[in-house]
Amino acid sequence: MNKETFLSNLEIQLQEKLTDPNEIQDILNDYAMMIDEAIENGEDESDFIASLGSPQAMVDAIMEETDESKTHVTHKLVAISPFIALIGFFASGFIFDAWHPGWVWFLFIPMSGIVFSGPQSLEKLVGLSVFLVLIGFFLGSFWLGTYDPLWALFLIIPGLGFFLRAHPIYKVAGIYTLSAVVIYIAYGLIMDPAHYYGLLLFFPVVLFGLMSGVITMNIDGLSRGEKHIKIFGTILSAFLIINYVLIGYQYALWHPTWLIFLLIPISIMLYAQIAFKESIEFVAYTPFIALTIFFLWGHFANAYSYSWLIFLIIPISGILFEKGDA
Amino acid sequence: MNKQFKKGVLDLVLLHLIHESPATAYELLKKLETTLGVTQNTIYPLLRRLENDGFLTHERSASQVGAPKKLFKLTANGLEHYRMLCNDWMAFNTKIEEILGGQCHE
Repeated sequence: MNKETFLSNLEIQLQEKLTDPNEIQDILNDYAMMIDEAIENGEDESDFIASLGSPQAMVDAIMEETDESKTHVTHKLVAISPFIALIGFFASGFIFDAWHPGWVWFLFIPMSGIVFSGPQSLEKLVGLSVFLVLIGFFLGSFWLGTYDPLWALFLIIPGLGFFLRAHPIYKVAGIYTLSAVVIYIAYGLIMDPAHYYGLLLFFPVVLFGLMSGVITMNIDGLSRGEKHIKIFGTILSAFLIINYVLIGYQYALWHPTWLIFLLIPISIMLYAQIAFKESIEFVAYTPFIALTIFFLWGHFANAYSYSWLIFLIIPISGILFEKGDA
Repeated sequence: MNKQFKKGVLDLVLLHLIHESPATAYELLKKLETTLGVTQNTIYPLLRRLENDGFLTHERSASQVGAPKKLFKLTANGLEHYRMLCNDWMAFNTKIEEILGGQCHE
């Protein structure tokens, strides 16, 4: 591999992980200088480049050190996030009687984990967008009194994922997806409550996802057990999505029926543990159980002010069922 | 050499070498790859972190081929950090020597 090809490959890997173009350029310049210096010292260009290892391993090593450098400060910020969330939740409940959707304060905990931990990367923006969309969806639907067409907000996540990729075709696909979300929601809210034909706007997004390989069902290189799990997960996901949309449109039950999607991670975890003959860890399931009870109890008994207590089963079960290190 | 040993002392080793004389990442690699068996994938990220933490700075010097070289130098904070690490290492090393008694059991 020559210097130009190596730097080009390195640039692609860096763009996947870093947001700052100056930082990317700085690292590329540093590696260019190192290669020049090696040549100046009589080393063979391709041999020296081969000795550097793969660009992906280099970027991983850089990100690991960046992460380590920020760990001390960020751990403190992440550690206090549950207390900030709790104060926000109680303030919303006691002052404004907004226990629902005041519980969205708890999303601050995973969000702070994403923002303050780990290296600054583009993947973080996509990860963060999941929670921002959830907040937008619940706050918007609370104030507007409808979950449809606001569910389309969730398509911001793949839209952003497309847009943040380097290739221009993905940028176009990202802009199209984000525009389709805005048009679909605006049209559904303002112009036509029966806007089902607006779903056609998303057809090109799915088509692009399939054609570009973003939506894929590649099971090559997986073990037999992993293949079964992937096929099972895909079939279950498709089944639940179709049923969710059908039930949502037929009975306007967008919330809390979305909880059925928790069956995907739960079933896959169970399937994998049974297939690989692993012991079933109850603690791993408690976040899903707590979330389901919290919403069902809060929604049907209008009891969000105390249904949050169910989340205490997570640390309690953690303590009770904790395995020793020995 | 054990990876965990290396990881713990590489900051000190790099600061020590740079304190002796400003050096490029390539020069540091050449000094350490034979003695400690480290690669550029280890050294370069460490140099970036030490620079981001304010312990190192750099200046440019002319090169015969391509772009000018990047010479790493210690900052005042870097010198202080180096002295602290070095003292810690000396004290730690002395205690370990006391325990091992200068030999490893067969």
